[in-house]
Amino acid sequence: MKEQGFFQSKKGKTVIAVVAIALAIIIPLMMDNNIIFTQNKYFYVLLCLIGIYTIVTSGLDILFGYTGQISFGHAGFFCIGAYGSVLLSHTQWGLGKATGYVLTPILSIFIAACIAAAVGALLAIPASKLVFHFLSMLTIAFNQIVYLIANNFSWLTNGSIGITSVPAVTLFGISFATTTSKLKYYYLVLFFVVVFLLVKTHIVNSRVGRGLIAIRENPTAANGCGVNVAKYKIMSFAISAFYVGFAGGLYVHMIGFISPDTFVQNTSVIFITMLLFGGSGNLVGPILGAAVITIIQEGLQFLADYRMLIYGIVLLLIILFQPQGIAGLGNTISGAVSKRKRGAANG
Amino acid sequence: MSTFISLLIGGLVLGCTYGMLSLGLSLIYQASGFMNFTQANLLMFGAFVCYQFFGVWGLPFVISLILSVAIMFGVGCLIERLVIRRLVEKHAKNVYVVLSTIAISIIIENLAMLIWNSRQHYFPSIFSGSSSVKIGSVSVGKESLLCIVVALVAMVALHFFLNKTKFGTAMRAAAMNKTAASCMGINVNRTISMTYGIAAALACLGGILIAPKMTAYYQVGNQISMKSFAGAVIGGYGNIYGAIVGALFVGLLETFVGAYISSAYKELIVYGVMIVFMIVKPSGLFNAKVYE
Repeated sequence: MKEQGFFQSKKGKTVIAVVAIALAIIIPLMMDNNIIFTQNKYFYVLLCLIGIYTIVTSGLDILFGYTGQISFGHAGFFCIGAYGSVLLSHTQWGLGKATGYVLTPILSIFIAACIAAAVGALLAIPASKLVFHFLSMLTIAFNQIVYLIANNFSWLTNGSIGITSVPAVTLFGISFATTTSKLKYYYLVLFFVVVFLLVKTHIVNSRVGRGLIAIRENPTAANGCGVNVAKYKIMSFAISAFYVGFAGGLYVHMIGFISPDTFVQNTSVIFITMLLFGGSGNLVGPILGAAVITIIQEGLQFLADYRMLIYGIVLLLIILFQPQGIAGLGNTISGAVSKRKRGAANG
Repeated sequence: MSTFISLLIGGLVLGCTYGMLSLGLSLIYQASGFMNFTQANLLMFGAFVCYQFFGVWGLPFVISLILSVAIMFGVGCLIERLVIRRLVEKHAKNVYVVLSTIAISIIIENLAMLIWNSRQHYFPSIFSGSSSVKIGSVSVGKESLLCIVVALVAMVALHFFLNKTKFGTAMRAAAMNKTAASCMGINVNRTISMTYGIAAALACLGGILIAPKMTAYYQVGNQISMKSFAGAVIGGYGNIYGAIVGALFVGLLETFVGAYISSAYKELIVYGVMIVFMIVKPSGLFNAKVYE
């Protein structure tokens, strides 16, 4: 029997989460005041990216880790969220160009994420009937279509040139412009990361979450137990798309520039790599995956040409040897140790 | 009329190239029940290998072609032996097998970029001397005709291989029912490995034949990957005759939409048709069995 330690219990997990959030708040603050490390502005961008990709990966996890549906097209939702938010909040493009009125960025991000969720639900209606290999193809085609629209509909998106000077987020009179203070934007991202992760925990532990897991384990049995499989799959797609769309909005208001190149098929593969690397079907995995892969990605900037090759190799090695990701590494090691112990006892 | 004929030839050339890929996709799906996202990048890699032999080292074309097809056959078998079979033996979820082919595809694409750099390489013309043939009033490049002829020959040869030879029958038997086939003394692992090899060899052949037209370029695979899938889906995924018909349809559709409507929308339309087929008629034109 495996004994349940303090850190496995619900109370222990809450303590860990609170400590992690506190550290995430305090450490950058200390850095900003030169208490530890040096003051390197780029570091905040990295932290923001980790936060944004954590939201993306958690959203993907709801679809892949909990419902067992694969998507190779989540960059498409990322694109819808990003472009949607820009077109709703930019004075010279989209809504601003057509009517002269624009939305404040945080509202535009929210609405763009809702649009992404609606598109996700629409995509899921046929997708919920498809077997997995058609699903992977459908999502790739979806990604390609979104990319082609962003690239070819120049009247709407300015084509491959992209849109510059995306407005900064302003909330309650506080400006979160990344040109002046990246630290403030980091706290904004952190706030949303915490909110999205709490919502995810809530979803996963609810009736809906149990339904999703039932579908992952055996759709036929789930159907037999009264789970409305099609409805839950659509829901899962929509929630997942909302997460990713929202992250897309946060991303574009941080970078301040948007072009279709960000949303190619490779981006979807990177999202999947993050999820698998961290470990799917739990809370910590997506955070770990997003953090490690983002750091690798930025750390390997000087290896620009080799980067995708390294992704490919990492992905392949994980699939072959560690399908649970690094969050499952502890289990694998303890499993191997106990196996050896047992072997020694028997032999 | 002459525009129409040259467009028709262009569409057929594209369709034949997609057909070589769709054939491989359907063969693999029939034999093992998996999708293979590596196929299009194997085409690109095969074209590069032939470019190395023929364009850089100056070997005769026929020898370079045979060598590169043989090498790619080996690569296909290796991929099955080293990755796919290991995953199947571990009882990994289907999703992981699909993901592994995507990972391999990324690796192959970037290896090609590192070996042959990221520029487009001009593939030398296969025939010396006058490079076009007159059909009526239209002059057609010899390479285009060669592409169509070789593709058709390869398809017919595959048909006879599968239906008339002992090994082909074994492959079909293994695809139909693995347990029963292995009870009859068929080495199922070997037939599946061979299937991956044949698929890779077909992709390589397609790559070499289209290379004079599309140049040898590391992103060729990405450009045509989804379209070969569209061909296979429209024809009926897992049916090799359907794959050919579907791929020819996609090639012609793309060419004519590009010429008469707008080249910006040709891909959107191809993907749209594919999605409509997936939703309305997932078994495709040839009623393949796609639901498990």
